[in-house]
Formats: sequence, C-alpha cells, structure tokens
Amino acid sequence: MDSGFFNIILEYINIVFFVFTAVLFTLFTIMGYLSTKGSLHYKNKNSFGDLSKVMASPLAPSLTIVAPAFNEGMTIVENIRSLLSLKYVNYEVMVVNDGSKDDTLQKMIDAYDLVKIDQPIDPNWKSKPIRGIYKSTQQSFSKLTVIDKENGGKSDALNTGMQLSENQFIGCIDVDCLLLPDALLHVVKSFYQRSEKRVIAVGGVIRVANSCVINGGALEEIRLPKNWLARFQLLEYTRSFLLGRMAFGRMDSLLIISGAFGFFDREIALACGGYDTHTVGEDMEIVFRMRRYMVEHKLPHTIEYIPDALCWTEVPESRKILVNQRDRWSRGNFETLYKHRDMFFNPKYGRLGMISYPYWFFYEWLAPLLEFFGFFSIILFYFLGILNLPFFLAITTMIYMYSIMFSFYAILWEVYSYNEYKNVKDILILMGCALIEPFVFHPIVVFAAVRGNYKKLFKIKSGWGTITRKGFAKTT
Amino acid sequence: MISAPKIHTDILWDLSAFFVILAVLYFVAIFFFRSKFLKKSADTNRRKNVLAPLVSEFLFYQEEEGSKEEKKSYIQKKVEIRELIKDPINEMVLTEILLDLKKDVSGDTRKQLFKLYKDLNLELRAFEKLKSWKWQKISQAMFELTQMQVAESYDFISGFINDKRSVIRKQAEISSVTLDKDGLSYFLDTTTYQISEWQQLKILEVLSNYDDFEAPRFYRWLTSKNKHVVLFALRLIKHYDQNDSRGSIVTLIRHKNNSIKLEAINCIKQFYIVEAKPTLKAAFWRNKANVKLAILDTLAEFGDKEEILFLLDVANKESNFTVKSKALSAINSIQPEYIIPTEDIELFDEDAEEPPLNFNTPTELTADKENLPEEIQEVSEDTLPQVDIIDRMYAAMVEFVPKEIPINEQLVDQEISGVELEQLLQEKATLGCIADLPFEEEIDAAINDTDDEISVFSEEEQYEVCNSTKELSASYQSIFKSLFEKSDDDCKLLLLDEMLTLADEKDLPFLNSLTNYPNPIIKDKVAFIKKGLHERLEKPEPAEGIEDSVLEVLNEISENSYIDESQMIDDVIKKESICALKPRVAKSLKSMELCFLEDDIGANSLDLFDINFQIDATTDEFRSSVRSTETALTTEHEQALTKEEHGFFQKFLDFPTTLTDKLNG
Repeated sequence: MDSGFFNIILEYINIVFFVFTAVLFTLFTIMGYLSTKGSLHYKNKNSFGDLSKVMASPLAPSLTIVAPAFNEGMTIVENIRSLLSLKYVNYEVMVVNDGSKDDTLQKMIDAYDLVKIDQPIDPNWKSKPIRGIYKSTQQSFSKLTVIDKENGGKSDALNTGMQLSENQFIGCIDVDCLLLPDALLHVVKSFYQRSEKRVIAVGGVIRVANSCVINGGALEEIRLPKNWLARFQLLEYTRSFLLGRMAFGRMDSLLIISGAFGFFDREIALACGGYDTHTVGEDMEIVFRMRRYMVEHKLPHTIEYIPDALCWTEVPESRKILVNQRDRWSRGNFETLYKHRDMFFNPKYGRLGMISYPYWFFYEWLAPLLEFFGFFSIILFYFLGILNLPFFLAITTMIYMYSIMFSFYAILWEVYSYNEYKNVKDILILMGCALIEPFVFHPIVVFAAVRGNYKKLFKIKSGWGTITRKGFAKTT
Repeated sequence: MISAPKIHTDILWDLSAFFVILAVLYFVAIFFFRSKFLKKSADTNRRKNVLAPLVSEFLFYQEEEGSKEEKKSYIQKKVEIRELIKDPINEMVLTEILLDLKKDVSGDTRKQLFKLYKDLNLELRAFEKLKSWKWQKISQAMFELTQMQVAESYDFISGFINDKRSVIRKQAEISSVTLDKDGLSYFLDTTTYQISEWQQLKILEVLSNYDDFEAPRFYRWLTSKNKHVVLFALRLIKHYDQNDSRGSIVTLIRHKNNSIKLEAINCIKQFYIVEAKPTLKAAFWRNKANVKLAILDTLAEFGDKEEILFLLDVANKESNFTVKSKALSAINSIQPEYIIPTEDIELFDEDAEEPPLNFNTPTELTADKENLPEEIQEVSEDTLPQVDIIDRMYAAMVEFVPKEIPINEQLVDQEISGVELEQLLQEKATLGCIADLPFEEEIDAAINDTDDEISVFSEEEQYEVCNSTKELSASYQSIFKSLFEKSDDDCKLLLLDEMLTLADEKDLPFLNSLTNYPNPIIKDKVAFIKKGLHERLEKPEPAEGIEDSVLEVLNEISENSYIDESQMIDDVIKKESICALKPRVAKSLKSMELCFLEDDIGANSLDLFDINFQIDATTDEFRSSVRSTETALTTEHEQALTKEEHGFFQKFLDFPTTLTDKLNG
C-alpha cells in the first residue's frame, strides 16, 4: 500500500478521535452548565416551606414501594423496618420474596406476624406463580405486604408488585437501600407539582452508604468510604448524578432512572407492560418504553429528577463484584439501545431521539469499546513505528486534564450544594481519587464494559450475578 | 494530492493548560466555598446568640405587670435591637429567628411574635423585596409576610396570582389563601393558570389550619372555564361535605377530563347520589380502567338488585382483570356471597363427596336477562337470600334422615317463616334448578295455604320427599359412583378395595352395574368385592360409633358457629372444613340440621334448637314471586334431571354421603 495514502488514513483516524473527544467535551461542558443552572433553580425553589405538613393530607396520593428480595435473610427485617418508618401516611411496602433459598420469608413471617391472605391475581399477568400473599396481624405493620413467589428475577418480582398494587404510584427500590424519612414526600411533590405535563416517573440520586453510620434504619453520620473502590465509585456517582442526570433532567431528556430508587405512574407502567424480564437493564428499558408510549400517544409528559440525597446504598467493595455489576450494566445498555434502535436520530422522539439516545449510544456504549481498541491500536502503532507520538501525548494529556477538571467541578458542586463530606481530609481524598481514577479505576470499568459486550455478542449466557452486601446493620 | 487537515498539537496543549487552570480554580473554589459556608454558619450562630435572648425577652414581656425599671430596660433593649438590625445581616438573622420561633410558639406568644415583627419594621424590608425582579426574592418575601401574618400584604400579594413565573404565582396563591379568608374565593375566581395537585394539597392544608373557616359554597366554581378550578372545587366540595350540587356533580361524570370524572364519582359515592346510577352505567364503557373501577366502587356502595345485571355484563365483557374482579366484588357487596371464589381452591377428600355451595362462580356468570330470575330484582334488602351451609344440610336431610336417624315428629312439624320460604325461592330462582331445592311441595303448600303459616315435614310430606329420591336410579344412591367415574383404573381398583369395608346395601346396585365392566381386572375385582360385601352385610354392625361421630360433628359445628368473620377466609383454607362457613349462619337458622341429629342422640342439653319456620304468605308480592318462579323453572327442572353428571343435581346426590361418612366415623 502506498505509504502516503496510509498516512492520510492514519491522520483521518486522528481527526475522528479528536472530533469524538471534542464533541464529548462540549457535551460534558453543556451538561455542567445545565446541571448548575438546574441545581441552583432547585435550591432556590425549595429553600423554604415544610414538606411534612402535607404528609397526611386527604389529597395525598397513595404509593406502593415494591422491594424485591432474594436471599436477603441477613438484613431483611431491619431493611423493612426502615421502609416502614418513612414520613408519609398513604403508602404501602410490598416486599416480593423472589423464591429466596434462605430463610428470608420465615424471618419476615416471624418478625412481623404475617399470615397468608386471599387476594385475586390476574391470571393473564405473565409473571412467575405466586405462592402466597401475607399481611401482618399487627396494626402497626399494616402497611406491609409480603408476596412470596417463585424465582423469576428482579424484573419479574417488580412486575408482580406492580400488578398487585392498587396505588397510583409505585416505587421500585432495592430492599437494601436506605431511604431518608422524607423521601416519599419529595417523590410525591415531584409527581404532583406539574400541571401542564404528566409526570410518568421520578428518579433520584443514589449516594454511597459504605462506612456511613446507620442506626436503627436511620442515617446518623455520613462518612467517606474506607474502601478505595467504593471511594472511586463515590466520585463516579457524584459526577454522574449531580452533573449528568441533573443536566438531562433539566433538558427533559432523562432516559434512565436508577433501579435502586425509581418511582413510576402505575397506570402508564402497566399500560407499557411493566418491566421487560428479558433484559438485565430493566430500569433503563422501562423508561425508554414509557417515554415512547407517551410520545407515540402524543401525551405531554416528563420525568422528574430529585437531586436531594434521598437514597443511600452500598456499592461493591470487591473488584470481582464490581466487574460483574458493570458487565451487567453494559449488557443492559446494549440490549435496551438495540431494542429501541428506531429512536436513533429519529426526530419523532424530539430531544430523546436527537440528543439522549445518541449520547447513550456514543458515549455510554461505544466510548468504552473505542477506548479499549484504541489502547491496543496505540501499542500496535507504536511498535509499527507509525504512532504520531506528539499528537498522542497532547490529546492524552488534554483528556486527562479535562477528566480531572470535570471531577473537580463535580466535587465543587457537591460542596456547594450539599456539603455532605465536611472533613478537609475527605475532600482531599476525593480529589486524589480524581487524579488517579483514569489509571486505576477507569480501566476496570472499561474492561467490564468490553466483557459485557463480548458476552452479548457471542451470546454467552450470563444473568444478574450476585452482589454480596455487608448489610447496613454491620456498617455501624 | 489528497491530504488530511492538520491538527495542531499546540492547540491541544493549550487546551490542556486551560483545563489545568480550571482544575486549579475549582480546587481553590472548593475550599473557598467550604470555608465561606463554615464562616457564614459560625457568624450566623454568633449573631443568633446575641439576638435570640433579646427576642425572648420581648416575647415574654408583660407590659402591664412590669415595674418602672423593667419598662425602662424594655425600651432600652428595643432601641438596642433597632440599632442592631440596621445591619442587613442582623436583620436577616432576626427574621430567620422569628420564622423559626413561629413554628414553636402558639397563642398569645405567637401574636406577640407577629407584633414584634411589625414593631421592628421587618415587614418593610419584605415589601421592598416584593419589588425585586428576582423570582426567588419575591417568593421569599411573600413567604415571610405570610408566615408573619401581615394582613396588609394581602392586596400586594394577590396581585401575583396570575404571574407568569410559576414559583411566584404558586407562592401568591398560598399566601392569598392564608392571609385572608376570602382569599380562596378570590383565587378561584381569578386564576387563569393550572392548579397543580401539589398546590391543591398545600391550599387544603392551609384551609385546615383555619380555626373558624366558613367555606364558601364551592358549587359556584363547578361552572368555571378553568378545568383545574373545577377539579379543585370538586375536591373541596367533597372535603367540606357540601351536598348541594348533586345535579352538577352528576353532569361532571361526562366531563372530558379524567381527573374531574374521578372526583365527581368520588363525590357521588360520598354523598350517596343514587340518582346518578343511570349516568354512571351509561358512562362506564366509554372510560378508562381507573374510572371504571371508581364507577364499580360506587355501584358497590349503593347499588341494588337492578345493578346486578349490569355488573354481570361487565364481568363477562370486560377484558381488564382488575375491573372484572371489581365487578364481581361489587355484586357480592350488593348481594353478599352471590359469587364465590373458585381460583386455587383445593379439593379435599371430604369435598369430593359434598355438594358445592349454592352460589354462582365467576365462570358461571350470565348477563343474559332472560336467564336471570326476575326475583333477583324484586327482592328487597331485608330479604336477601342467605344461602348457607344449613340449606345444603337441610337438603341432605331429606334423603339422609329416613335411612340413618329416625325423625322426631315434634321437631319436624315446625313452621317455616315467610322470609325463609322466600329465601328458598330466591335460592331456587338464583340457581335455576328445581332439583336443587328442597321442599318443593312445601313451597306449593305455602302458596295454596289459606292460613298464613304452613307446616313442614309432616309425615306424609316426608314420605313424598323420600319417594322422590327413590325415583332416582338406584346406582346413583351409591356414594362411590361419582368418585368411581372420575377415577383412572388404578384408583378404581383402590376405590373398590375401600368399598369392601365402607360400602353398604345402597352400593350394591352400583356394583351390579359394574359386573360387565370392559376392563377384565376391574370386572373381576367387582365380582370379588360384591361377594365380600354380601358376606359383610350379613353380619350385624356395631352402632356405638355413630353417636360419638354425630357428637363430634355437632361439636365441630357448634365450635365454629360464631368465629370472627375476619378469620373466615383463613379458616376455610386451613381447617378444610365445611364448618368454617358457619359464621355467616344466623343463630336462628343454625339449629335446623342439628335438630334431627340432636334428637336422635339425645343431646337436648346443647340447646341448639330454634326452629322458627314461618312463611308470611299473605302479601300479593310474595305470592306473585312464588308463582313466577314456579313457572319459569319448571322446564329447567326437567332439563336438569336429564343431565346425569351435571351441576347441582349430581352434587346434591353426593352430599348426603359426607354426612353419612361423618356419622359413620
């Protein structure tokens, strides 16, 4: 091959990478701007007034919190207790025991004096058979309903809860998540504050609870995680929730609500068929489907995002579990994007089709793959002697500096808005994480994403995997 | 010559440097803001520590009781505080203190607090803020003035009710309603914007805090052009129980907006607007599932027999499971236990020999008006059919009593009340099968009886009843027949083995009918069992066990007679016993099946007899209902008899075996 022509190809590859990076930086900068604006607006708007006054209003809507439980015997009783103590009147906690192999069900029965009740079940609803529905004999636990069903996965358990609930709104959470007492009030406000558009879902920030002091189901002291992997994830979550989701929320283009803390308009969720049980990215997929449903029926709608720290969860502290989790996320991402591929740059879906979907495609799904293959290409080019070293060094430095700058901005915004981590040492550690993250943590995430895509491409069967959590009780 | 555009690496390095600068700036900003917040917080706390005691002294100072020196000190402090609040930060902190204190104090102290706020001219600062162009400042000022009950600000604030900035508008709405009792009327009259659900919730909360709030008549706003006002007015009507706009509310069922429809239906339910029933039924099919559910809920609340047809129609045609279930539950609300559960009901050994409850099951529903007995629409509320276990046992006695236990003539010559007879008719009408009804002759007698009361179970009548069973095929009298026919060959062999020990004379015809059975193994077994049975029947049977068994049954029934209704569902599942259904049996009806048994076993001391069968056959209504039932069902009766394995007929035949088994231990 003519070496001149080959050089031109190489230069064009450089240009493609440069443009890709420039667009990414532009998008991130816009996101930073929008999230700042959104956060300030939210802060000013909610700086006064007392939410708790309306918690017992006769007009307050009814809510069901569905919490799937699989082999959660160790912490289930405490977790339920925490869910039952939320500041709201008209709500129900529905724990779906998804065929646990341990003593999850028995522990619940013993702790809450549960008895089997009779309740009609739609025979047409496609979910695994229900073995029994339980209610407590004690008035103080009247908000609790336990559904015992055969194992069908998280989506199936959530669908069961969604179907059996009779309330207007349904919250799908991880049973081991810790919700702050006024979480439901914020959720209700988000659902109810709009009059021109129907709020079909509400999502919120997920904060990292590792090493925090939790007592009796209540968060007593916020501490920086001791584990380094958890620290990196804390930084990542701060960037993602405080800047990314806030910006997409501001643009009304949110296409994902975290599975750990998501609330839905039950009517719309059911009209869409509930969660897809054939994907591991069910939390993202249901939002795509609900959005599409509303757009296709020409119904004005929105998804609200609450930036307040209302939900706290444990993140993986082991590399293996982390890789499994990110592998699953990656597969879920791919499955959802593939399923809804007709939205890609489809003006019919407005900003969802023209901004959100392409962002997810290029920068959430494709970027890790490009990074992975780019890395090996660089090594190859280096040994072949065709690497444009000055360009490589300049662009790598620029990307690295941008990532540090963006992480610092996220930390700044965290301090400005919430100031959760009050020790100087904690902030310095977070900044240190931002400096070393591209070399330590980011490769793990990229590897997990590539593995997930590889599994998907070669149809290697892989399910949810297991996340072993220490449980909040032990974090004290 | 093709060439690629050049990327100057210098630009990249420049950008890198720019990002480094930004990162450093952010680094500095992080600590700058952090220290600023800490400093501000410390400063505020320091100022609060100075101002809070002064405020407390003002709040709890009694002007009349104070001495001269105290008054002097009070004035000095007032001067001092005025000096302090010349500093805008102090002024802000003082306002914060007052707003916080307002949450904790009440009564005179709260009034004193409001007075102090005005005395210190803090409201002037708030009024100034109202002129700001920043929405957050304006809304903050409105909030402050509202919290401090500055009534003078009402005129200023109400001007913002139609402000285009939503935060200001919403705060103005809340403030207007809070500051003036007529604020709500003004707001509902003037607002042209949507009122979000959250806003409605907050306004209602404000209204509920008024001690002496005289709600205006909210029907005035049902005609508003703003649909959000209409919706809110409906909610207020419901909340304040204003039952003076029934016509408007009924009309609003036809509103295009779903929320308004739902709220109108809720009002109808709450105010028991019975005249809305035709509109509700007419609107049903045009609506979405949630409205349908609300309509069904309302019909369940105050519907009567006339609605059953409609509800059956819904249960048949509706595809949505929840709506369908709601329709069935509404039917049961109108006529208790009209529908019984069938899903996931386990079948026990005892059940196989026991006739089912005389109810409709969801799968047997019909909305065909011709098939539905007229009586169902004519029976008044107090004569609702109380179909229960006693009737089944009562029917069983007809066959059972002459064979096992001698009838006590004194007891059976009791009278059946008109209500009870009508119940029986009702049951017959509902079930549509005359064969399932005991006392056909008694009913005839009741109709023809010139006296207003009739007797049941006279000797002749018993004889007739017994004869009626004898007319049935002899093989049907075997308890094993139905089980045998439903079993596979292995089970048939097992069943035949059981017959050797359990069967009696009435099973012989059934065994005879099997002598030519196609399967040679079964055929041989039948011959063997028949022989063995003949041998066994020649020997006398011990009779002692019967009494014990009967007592056991009696005790079981008695124990379960008055269990709490809430336990019923579980008991049905857990106890696997027909006795668990007893709670719904009225005490006056309960003892009927027991009277025969008790007499036989000498258990009078249980005092369970309370037969009170009286028929009030004097009314024309009653007579006509009986006649119409008779005419309608005669043909069905004949048809039913021809179907050997079908419905209640077969189950009716099976039921005595349950009791027999129990009595035989």
